Amino acid sequence: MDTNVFVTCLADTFYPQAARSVTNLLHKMKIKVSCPPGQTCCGQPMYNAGYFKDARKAAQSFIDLFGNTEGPIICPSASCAAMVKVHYPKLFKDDPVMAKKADVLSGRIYEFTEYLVKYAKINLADLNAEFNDSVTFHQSCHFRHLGVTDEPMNLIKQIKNINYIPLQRMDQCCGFGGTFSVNYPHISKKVVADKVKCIHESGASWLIYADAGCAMNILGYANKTDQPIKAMHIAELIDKATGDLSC
Amino acid sequence: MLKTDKFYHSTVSSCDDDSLSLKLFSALDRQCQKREDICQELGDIEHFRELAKAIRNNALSKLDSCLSQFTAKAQENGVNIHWAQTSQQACKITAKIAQDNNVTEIVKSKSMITEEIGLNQFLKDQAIEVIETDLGEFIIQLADHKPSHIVLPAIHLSTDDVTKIFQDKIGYDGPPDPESLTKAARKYLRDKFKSAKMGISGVNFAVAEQGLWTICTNEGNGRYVSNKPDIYLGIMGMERIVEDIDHLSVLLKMLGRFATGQRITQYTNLTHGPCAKDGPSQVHLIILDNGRSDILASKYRDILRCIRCGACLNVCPVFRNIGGHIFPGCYSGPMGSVLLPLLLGMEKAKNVPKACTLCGKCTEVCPVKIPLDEMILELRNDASQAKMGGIIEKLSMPIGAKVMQSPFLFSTAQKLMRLGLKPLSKSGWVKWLPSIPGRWTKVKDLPLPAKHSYQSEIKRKGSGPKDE
Ligand code: SF4
Repeated sequence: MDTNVFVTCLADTFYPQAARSVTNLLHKMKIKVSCPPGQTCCGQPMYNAGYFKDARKAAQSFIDLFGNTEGPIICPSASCAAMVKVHYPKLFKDDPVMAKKADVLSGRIYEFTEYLVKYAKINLADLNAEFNDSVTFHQSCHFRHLGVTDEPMNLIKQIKNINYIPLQRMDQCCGFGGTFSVNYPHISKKVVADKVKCIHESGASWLIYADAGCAMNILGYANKTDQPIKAMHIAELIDKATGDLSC
Repeated sequence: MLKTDKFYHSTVSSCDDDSLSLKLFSALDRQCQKREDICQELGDIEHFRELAKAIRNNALSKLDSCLSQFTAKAQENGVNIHWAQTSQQACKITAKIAQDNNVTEIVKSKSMITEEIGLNQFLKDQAIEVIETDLGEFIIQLADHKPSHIVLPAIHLSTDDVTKIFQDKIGYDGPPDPESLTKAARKYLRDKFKSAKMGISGVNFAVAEQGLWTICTNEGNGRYVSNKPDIYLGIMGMERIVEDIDHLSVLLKMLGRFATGQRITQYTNLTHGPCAKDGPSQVHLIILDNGRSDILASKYRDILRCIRCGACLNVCPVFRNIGGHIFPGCYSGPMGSVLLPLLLGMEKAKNVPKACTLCGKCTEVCPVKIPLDEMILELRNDASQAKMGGIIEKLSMPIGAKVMQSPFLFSTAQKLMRLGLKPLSKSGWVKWLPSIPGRWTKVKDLPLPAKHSYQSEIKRKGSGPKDE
């Protein structure tokens, strides 16, 4: 079935390579993918700040745009996927017309690894995935809301020659939290400091992440404190590991 | 950005204190590990969480009948029941019981509800001394601190800290190890137990069918407090009730496991009223509302399922760094972030629900499945609707929404952002920004937006396989 990529505002702006890798990989899997033009943001920043009315406006645009498409919507972010899947239906619970549309999209949205494992049931070994280095993985908080647990790690482990080193407190928040990070920068700093410490202690060459928000936060702190981290989105890792297009 | 207040400023000073987070990290990691280990024994923990949730919901859905069944039975058992609408009333009832019986010294076991109503201070003002008999509470009473965790009140203190407190306050001259310190506390408290004529405890759960209630402790002090003195007073929040003993047994299982990683607490006392041959001759129970009826009638009623296990505090990444002292009430962490605005009013606690990354770990762990993170969001929305958010937030959110509604404005904003940030950046990072964005760059660098956003890139080149 045809698929759609929801780029997400942060990936679109700061980490376009994550979205590029998602499309590349889908091409390699011979899955037709389109990227509906005119995408903005799912409304999560307003929603999380507690401005539901404003969040509804952004959500409305998303629903209008993707409501006109068909097939799974794949997004390289657990938190944006959770926004659409879990929070949209709640956001529109008092508006039956919109709630119905929200419910449909809630059933169609997939976080990238969730799509690969649960929907496409991919085995990366079949794509001859290979990566000759060590990696560790930060489990974004919003996987929790999606009911995703080991899926990303299992994908990583399917890659030949990869040395996967589990991150200590891997599912502990990185301290981003949207507006939280500017409301309480001092708390955010302490939370991310622990994350960066664990990443360095893992000894892995690469940090693999699944959310652009986490990446900005973790890498931004690492850079500020002169302890840089080499990192890439899990889509990039899989894209790299599955090599050039041979089809 | 939020309007700063006392709570906000206290978070700054807590974060400056690295020794606090060090202590909390190791103690809370230990707690979490113990819980995880012991929960494994139960097999499908989700099943038990569902069960515990259903048991609490059941009691809340018929709270009126549970409470009347409970009080009728308890009165039959010889218990004096007192209803208190407010903290003030509960304190006054307590003082009156003490004064009517010429009590000037009270022994008390650990109880968050007495913290909630400010009982110790109230009684002190009436020249009635309260002696805390739980070790943790005893330590912080000596130090004149508030509890920093609902289950582990002295978690902010190290053994060395406690030694120093004991030396200063009770003339301790033994070695700085937990065992000797505990012995010293025990000796000190035994004498108090002997002389005090009245004991007070909280109530973990009341059981409607039998009209009895439980106190769960690990030190046996709850048993002492409720048995040794001639007068015993229990104080309970009106929601802390279950229908029958079977329901109680499930919750006791969950409480022990989630609070302290035990199958059940060392001492689980069931109080049934006075007994002619033994124990106190007067047994009183105060049932406190203090805002609970309003919560029950609101969209936040699920928080009344809370069994005060503290598991949500233990997993909270924010609590680990700021501790519980700075919250504007005795409850802290995720459950406190929900309860405090409801109990104290939003104005007094408006910044508390904002001190949360919405990571959802609390909701994931809660033994009675309270959707804490969702409630925190809901409270934020209430605050913004009541115009309690900061002015910047209030102005920026609708603008943000406008931009998100228009692909043109959105892509223009992206371009402008890159244009504006480029001159300030070095090797792809922005290290300094003024004003609100400066709150980010003060602690983290900001990546420079990509030269071309993904959407503008595919507009130019298409999203075909060879778009690199
Ligand atoms: S909210 Fe849940 S996890 Fe937190 S103290 Fe209450 S019962 Fe325990």
